[in-house]
Amino acid sequence: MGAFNGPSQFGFVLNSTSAGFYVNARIVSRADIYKNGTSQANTTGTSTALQSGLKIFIGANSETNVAQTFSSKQMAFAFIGRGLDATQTAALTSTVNNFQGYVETAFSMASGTRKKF
Amino acid sequence: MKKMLVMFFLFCLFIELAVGVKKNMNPLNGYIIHHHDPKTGRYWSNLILGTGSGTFSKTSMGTLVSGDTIFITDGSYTGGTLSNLTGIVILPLTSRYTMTGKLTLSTLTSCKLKNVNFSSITGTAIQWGGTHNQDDTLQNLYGSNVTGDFTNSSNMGTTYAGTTATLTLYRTVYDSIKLDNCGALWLGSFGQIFNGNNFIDSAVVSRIVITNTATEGRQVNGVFFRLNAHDWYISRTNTNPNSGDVGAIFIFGNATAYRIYQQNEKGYIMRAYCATLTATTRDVYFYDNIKTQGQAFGTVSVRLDNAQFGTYTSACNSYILNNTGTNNQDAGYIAPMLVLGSYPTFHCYVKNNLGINTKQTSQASQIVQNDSGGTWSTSDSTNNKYYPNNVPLYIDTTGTKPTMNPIVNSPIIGAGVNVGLSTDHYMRPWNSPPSIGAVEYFSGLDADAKKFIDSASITNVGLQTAIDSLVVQLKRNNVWGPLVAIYPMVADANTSSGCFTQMKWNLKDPRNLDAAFRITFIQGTAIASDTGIRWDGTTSYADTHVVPFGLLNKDSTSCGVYILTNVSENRTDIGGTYICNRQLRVKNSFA
Repeated sequence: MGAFNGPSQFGFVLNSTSAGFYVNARIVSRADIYKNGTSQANTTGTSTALQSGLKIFIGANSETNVAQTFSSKQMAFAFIGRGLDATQTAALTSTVNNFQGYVETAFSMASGTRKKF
Repeated sequence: MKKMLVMFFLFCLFIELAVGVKKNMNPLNGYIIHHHDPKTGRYWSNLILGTGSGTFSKTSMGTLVSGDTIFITDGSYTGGTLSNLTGIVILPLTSRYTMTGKLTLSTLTSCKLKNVNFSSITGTAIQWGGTHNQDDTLQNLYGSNVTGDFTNSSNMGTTYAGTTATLTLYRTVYDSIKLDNCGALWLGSFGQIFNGNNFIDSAVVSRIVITNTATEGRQVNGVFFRLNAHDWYISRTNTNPNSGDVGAIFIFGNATAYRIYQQNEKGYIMRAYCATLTATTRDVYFYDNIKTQGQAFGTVSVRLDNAQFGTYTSACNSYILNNTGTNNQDAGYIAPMLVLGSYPTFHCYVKNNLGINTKQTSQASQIVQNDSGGTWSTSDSTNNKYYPNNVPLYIDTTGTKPTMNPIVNSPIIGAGVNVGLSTDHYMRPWNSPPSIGAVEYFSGLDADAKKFIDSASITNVGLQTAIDSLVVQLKRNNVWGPLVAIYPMVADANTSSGCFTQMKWNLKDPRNLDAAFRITFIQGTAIASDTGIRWDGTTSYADTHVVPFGLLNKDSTSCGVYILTNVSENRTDIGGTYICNRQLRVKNSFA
């Protein structure tokens, strides 16, 4: 459930259920995969070059800027950034979980029920 | 309605052709659709129940298995019964159905009832039955003009014998419920602990909105242990004609009650005869609550009563922390922050509470009315503040629902002691030391949060607070800096297209530019709502315009996504690749 700027299958682990908060992070030669703040796997290896002009998509893979392997999941938060260590990942996970709870409460308290289209 | 039903049947026909469906007529005014997906090998069933009028009933699992769904046909029903079910989700077929008579829930385990209206009912709206129910959830319910209790489990009569099986309800969740002109939200029992029956343990009652209750103020009443009650708003538009020395939470047992706002209503927010199940000892916590314009009685009342302690129960401590009470009247009774009854050998900690302009004619103290008869040490009540009026301004009491935010330079700011609470009434972090009262000093939205809120045109105040808190916490945790693009994917628009428009913004740079990494959506048939984006799996995606090359160092990269649904598919949720050179990606691959 993860991949990094490395060769195929680098930083890769099979998943069992998809719901959760995922963080993939590389710092120097180490790449970590986290789900709900818990490390699922880590791999050590030299990074490969970032590809000029390649964009990041959400909800699909950007294969040379062409969308493929489209997701049918429901999402509520995404981010892209520099490498995060375990402490930062734990803090981010806690923050995002709090945020999701606040959002849920914000709507419930405003209307008693939530909208779904 | 007919058009929607026709579409549903056409959808079922399609499913039948595509994945193999068998329909069985069900003798209980419904029919079951069996599904088998050859791709996953999974079998499941949906039971369509009800005709849109009259009553509906499902009193056994029959051919259903745990994980199946019962869909109630839209319409209006005079009654319904759901019993002896395990692991079943009960949903409306399309949007919502309305109950105009009693719905009986009996002997349910791990069931979820969602999205139901209850309207103009004489008597009880939801009657719990059987001897034991557990792990059930009632969610997204709306009740109006119910003359009796909205839910009632008081006549199950199960005698508690020290086991979860002898609890009437165990691990029950009430969430997102709104009541107008109804009786009590949940009558758990008429009796007390010493009566020995109708015990409820580990209940959650969250996100509750109550207007003009038909009771004297009671909402959750009975023998409750480990009750977790939070995020309530109780209000009234007139004088409550009923009177009783009660609480919205009126329990014999223990509870954690927080972020409750009670306005212009009678009764305490919580009145507890504190006791704990000895096998699962817990204390009583009451914090971050606000009571204002109360018509009578105090904010919270706790006591120990020897009559409540016996084979299975014992006494416990109480913690009354960071609450605010303003402009409360006593109507000839009392109206302090805390009424403390007998408390032999146990402790009641009362700290950081704020009282302003409370009418308390018969008692001198406005924070603690000590009726303990000398069994409580007042040394546990430091760092509370009382002001006879709000002059000079200590907190903001203006508006139809005053925020109670401390005013700049107010003496209550930072005047509290650290008591271990993490967030205030609005879920903003407490400072160290915290302020007195239920609300931490708030100087305004974080500048970055405000730019995002303005760009996305988000008007929901709670959502604004959530975004502000997100930014503040990211900054405090040193995560804000490393991230180049953050997509909160929140919206309060009334249409899917409107929500997409609000979700395109990058929290780090909310300008309407590709260079600011503002998303370009290829929507396809994806749906956006206040619960995020559900992608269509075929054409929809978000182009972030983030190009890691030149922006990030190849030895320092990260990406992530918050997924709400369990979907077994080997698809990419966020990422970019170049041939076999994985760049950044979260792709779910399943064992």
